[in-house]
Amino acid sequence: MYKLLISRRLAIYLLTAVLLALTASALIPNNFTLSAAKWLELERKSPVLFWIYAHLSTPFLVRNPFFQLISFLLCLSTLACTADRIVKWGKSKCMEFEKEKAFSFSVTQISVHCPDEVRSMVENFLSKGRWEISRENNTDLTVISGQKGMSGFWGSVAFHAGLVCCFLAGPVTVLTGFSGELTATEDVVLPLRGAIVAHQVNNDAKLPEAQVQINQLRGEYFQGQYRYDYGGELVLSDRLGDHRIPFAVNKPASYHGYQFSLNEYGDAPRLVLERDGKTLFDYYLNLKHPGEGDYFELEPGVRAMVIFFPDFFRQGDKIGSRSRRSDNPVTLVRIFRGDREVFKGLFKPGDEEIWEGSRIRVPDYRHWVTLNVTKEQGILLVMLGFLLGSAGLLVRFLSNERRIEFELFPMGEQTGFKVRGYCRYYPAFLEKEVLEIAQKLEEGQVPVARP
Amino acid sequence: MAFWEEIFLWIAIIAYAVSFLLFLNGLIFKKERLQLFGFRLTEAAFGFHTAAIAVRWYVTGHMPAMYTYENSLAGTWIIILTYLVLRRFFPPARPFVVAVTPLVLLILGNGMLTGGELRPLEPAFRSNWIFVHVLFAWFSFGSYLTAFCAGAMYLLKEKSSKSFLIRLPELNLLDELSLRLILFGFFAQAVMIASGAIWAHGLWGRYWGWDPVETWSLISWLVYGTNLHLRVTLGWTGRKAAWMAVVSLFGIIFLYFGFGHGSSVHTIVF
Repeated sequence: MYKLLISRRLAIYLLTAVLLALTASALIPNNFTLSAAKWLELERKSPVLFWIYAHLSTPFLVRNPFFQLISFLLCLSTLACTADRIVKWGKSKCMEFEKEKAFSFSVTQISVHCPDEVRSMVENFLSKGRWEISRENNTDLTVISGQKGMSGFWGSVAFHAGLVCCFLAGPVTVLTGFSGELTATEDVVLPLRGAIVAHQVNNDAKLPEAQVQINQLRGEYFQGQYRYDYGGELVLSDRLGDHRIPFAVNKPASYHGYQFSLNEYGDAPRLVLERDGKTLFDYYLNLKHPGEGDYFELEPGVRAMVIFFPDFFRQGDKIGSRSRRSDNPVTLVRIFRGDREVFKGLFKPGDEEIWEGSRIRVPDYRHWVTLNVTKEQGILLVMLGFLLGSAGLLVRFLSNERRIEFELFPMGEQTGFKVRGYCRYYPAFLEKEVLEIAQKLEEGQVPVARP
Repeated sequence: MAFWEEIFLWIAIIAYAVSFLLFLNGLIFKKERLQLFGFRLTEAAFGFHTAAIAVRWYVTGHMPAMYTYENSLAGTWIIILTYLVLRRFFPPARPFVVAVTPLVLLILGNGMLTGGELRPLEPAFRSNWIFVHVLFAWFSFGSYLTAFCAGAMYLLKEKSSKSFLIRLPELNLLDELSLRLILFGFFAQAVMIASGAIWAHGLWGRYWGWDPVETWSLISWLVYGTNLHLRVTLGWTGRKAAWMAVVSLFGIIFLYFGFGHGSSVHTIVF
């Protein structure tokens, strides 16, 4: 089993399997690539197609136990291969250069200098270039060899260790983390546990007991059109008192290890419906579809469609918003009984109208936000993996694993020499380097050391 | 687009197009002077391209990294920079311009079609990670694209005996360049993905969400990871490696056009 796990061929097969599964799944539409409405329509109209999309597209495939098993084996194989390489290194405390796997290139030349001078030039070159030098002396032949670029091995080890950290981040996040959503209207106090909709069942039990309130919401637009700044203040009240934590896009609030990231921002006009002195409906309406309008049930069979115009204008029959700044806020309220429109009115804050004996008011408006509430302990492993992996890859990129051997043999007063280079990955570089070294030695100069 | 940005960009585009034609001519008709002039023109075009970026950066007050136009403006600049650095260290890589400039013109054209409105940096982009994420994304794309050129040239040169193809760089040099470029691209893409994950954690509260752009970036990274394993572990070189360099680019193309592939949190960032 261990032998199988340390097989690099198996690692490649597993990697290819994961890659092919991911590629095939990425071509299938999913709940990210389809809008929520289209996703629901698909579920209603084509159950078979929906089943395929909801089981084989990427966000669903990655939760499939079979896919997870293959990924786990890939992680195990990566770990085993890396451990095996370190163990092998630990046994010999040095890296063996595998000549048989390398490309080689050699040149034979004659130098007018005596063997001792050539040897000293070669040794000078090797020590200047920080090669690991070894020597063999026979009566007629001196062999001096150097090797370098073995840091690539450690680069590769660091990279794979980084990968394993990233692999581990997944289960750590799923098992220890939390993910949910908090949608709240400005200045409304809510219980934290009840207000957050957890993405996993019963997950909200982990949340601390506190009251939550969102204050001082702001949305700023450049030239009234382009999103510029969004933010606010999160007020959490627990037994230790009030905690006021500012938040903005890219600057999440943090409380007891939970991160509150701003995800959505919108307008919430308050709609009040009163009849015979009784309040039938009184809510701040969190509008999520500013273009097409949002529908709310006022009473059985009666719906209101509401659109908020932050900077209202009217041109003939056309109405709309000049900008996204709240310079002239107006709320359009249309009331439907069944499919028939029975009321339509435009309300500035504080306006009211009478419809069939009922009083409709829009006293004011606020803003609402959705905050992603998460706790992801896996992020630390991702960061560690990132550091290890990128440092390892950089070292791997910069290193050039190679060996060079000089055979020196006397030829009368002159010296014959053969320079043979071995290189794992860069033959053209090696060829050039060997030729340069041979030429310099022939000319009686110490070759220039390369990194 | 700012006035001077548009002027500089059009000069750069025309110069890239002319340098491509000069190079192609020089290569086919064995005219070294035309090739040299074409190369100088590429350098000049790069200068104007840099000026266009500088003007835009000055006017908008931020690095051009938002939406398609700015990404294509900065991305093509990095692709040309990758080529020029490569040419500096490996002079035989000079003819790569024949393959690089048409792709640069295509990407720029696609970006310009989407319009280059001047606007401030949106809140979601206001993070220090933008520099790391976007810069390394384009470095990886530039490296993979140049590796693709090396692979394509390898295949052309190996198959054909036509005289102008013989003047392309040596086969073993093309093979080696493609490996080095893929290794660098793989490193750059790793940094891009990891920095994106950390940025996403601060922005959306999660570091990975299987969004289409995230999925395709992982797929293309795994494609190049497999590519490197096949070369380094199984010793694939020559034609097989060249085919891998050519075919692997399609993963990246999916990633690039993934921005338009349905909805994604990368297109609706907040």
